[in-house]
Amino acid sequence: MKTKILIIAFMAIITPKLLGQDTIEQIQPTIMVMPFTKSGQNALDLFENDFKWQSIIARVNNAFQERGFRPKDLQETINQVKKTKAISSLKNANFNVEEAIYMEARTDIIVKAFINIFSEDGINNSVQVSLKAIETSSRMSLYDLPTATSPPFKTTDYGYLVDRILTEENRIEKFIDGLNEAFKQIVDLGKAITIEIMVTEDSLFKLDDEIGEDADFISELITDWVKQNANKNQYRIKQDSENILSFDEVRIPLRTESGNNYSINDFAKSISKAIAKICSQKEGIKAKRRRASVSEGTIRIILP
Amino acid sequence: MKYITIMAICTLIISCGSKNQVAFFPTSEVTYLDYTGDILSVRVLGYGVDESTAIQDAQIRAIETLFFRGIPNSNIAKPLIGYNENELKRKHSYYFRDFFTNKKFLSFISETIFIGGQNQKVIATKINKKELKQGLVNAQVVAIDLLINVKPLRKNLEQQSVIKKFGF
Repeated sequence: MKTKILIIAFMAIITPKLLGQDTIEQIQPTIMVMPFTKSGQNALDLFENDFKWQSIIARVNNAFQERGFRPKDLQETINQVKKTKAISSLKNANFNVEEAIYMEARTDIIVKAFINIFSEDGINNSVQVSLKAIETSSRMSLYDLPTATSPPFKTTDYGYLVDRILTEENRIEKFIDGLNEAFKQIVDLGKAITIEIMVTEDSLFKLDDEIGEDADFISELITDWVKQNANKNQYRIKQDSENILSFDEVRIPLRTESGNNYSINDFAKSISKAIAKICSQKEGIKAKRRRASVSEGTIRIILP
Repeated sequence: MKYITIMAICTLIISCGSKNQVAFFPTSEVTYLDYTGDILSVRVLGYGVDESTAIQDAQIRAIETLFFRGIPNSNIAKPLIGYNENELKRKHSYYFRDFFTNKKFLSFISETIFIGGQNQKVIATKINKKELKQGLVNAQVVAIDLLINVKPLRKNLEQQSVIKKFGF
């Protein structure tokens, strides 16, 4: 009887926790498909003005949608960039269009679709396609679909040729499966972000200021904090000088221990608090916490 | 481990027809033919005491190969579910019981084309009350072409949480 009561009490405690976890949906990565040419032509210009390029991108987008995933729409993003920059055409734009689109879309993953249209005999046309999925924050390649070439056809329906390349032998499914496999690794290892901590003229502290009896540098204490808080201790220092401490890869978990979603902004909040706390250990000076800026998977903080 | 062995033997007995108490080796004699659109086409060998059990055996072998080993030389060379067959079958025992024992797998097969069959002597495990013994047995061996509807099969696995959906 006693055992039964204990089991019921245990279930009463544990069940709401388990049910609670189920109700929290994992935030999904954002993806956008971008066209690129191998000839050096402006692919975005081609995309905007040529229907065949739109059909090519639509075909890749469609493969994601078939798996119940909604990628960001490139045309909508371009329209938003035009609106923000007050321009009517991307042609002759006096800014880096590609970067502006990345900034506007703020996607976690960019799928670069390299497309090459050519004709060997001047009559029949062929299309070459290769796909590459890049993690925006780390710039790491998640999955590559090697270049595939359509047989020559007497047609200018390039959308059809691309469709043929991607569906023949189900190459597009292989790409989606390969990308999904990379997601599993991200879930396991954590999401890659980069961190830059800089010293400016306004900073009261320097990265090589000594703290405590052990005379640890501030940069060393920050590194220790990152080491302890990175998912599975996954971190890599890119630069460690008196003015800058940067990490080109720090893995953060996708969820907290209690099952809630965890984002780069949560990590930015924690690290900015930790930096203020570390600096405050220096005798006689109170460090004011600086707001971290977060953009495209990078946290930038100015030392107090 | 003991549990897995017993389950494996039971599955083999069921798939081969329990009358003769013969368990054929779980080979993956599956050859890739085509995978365009939603349909995966493979040629597969099956073993049984008669043609009907051999065809069903071939169908199960093809699906299990797709699930746990992947189809070599195709764009679906990685397994649809995963490599660790025993653990996955144990983890999702309810799904697999319904899928194989209640023959739900047939709803994902678009077409079964009989290519040929013949009686052969093959090495198998003979099972009687006292022991398991390997030896030559008479078997019907068939070759079939199987068209598997991969897209709804994947969706079904996703809905039943056997595999995760696309994304994190």
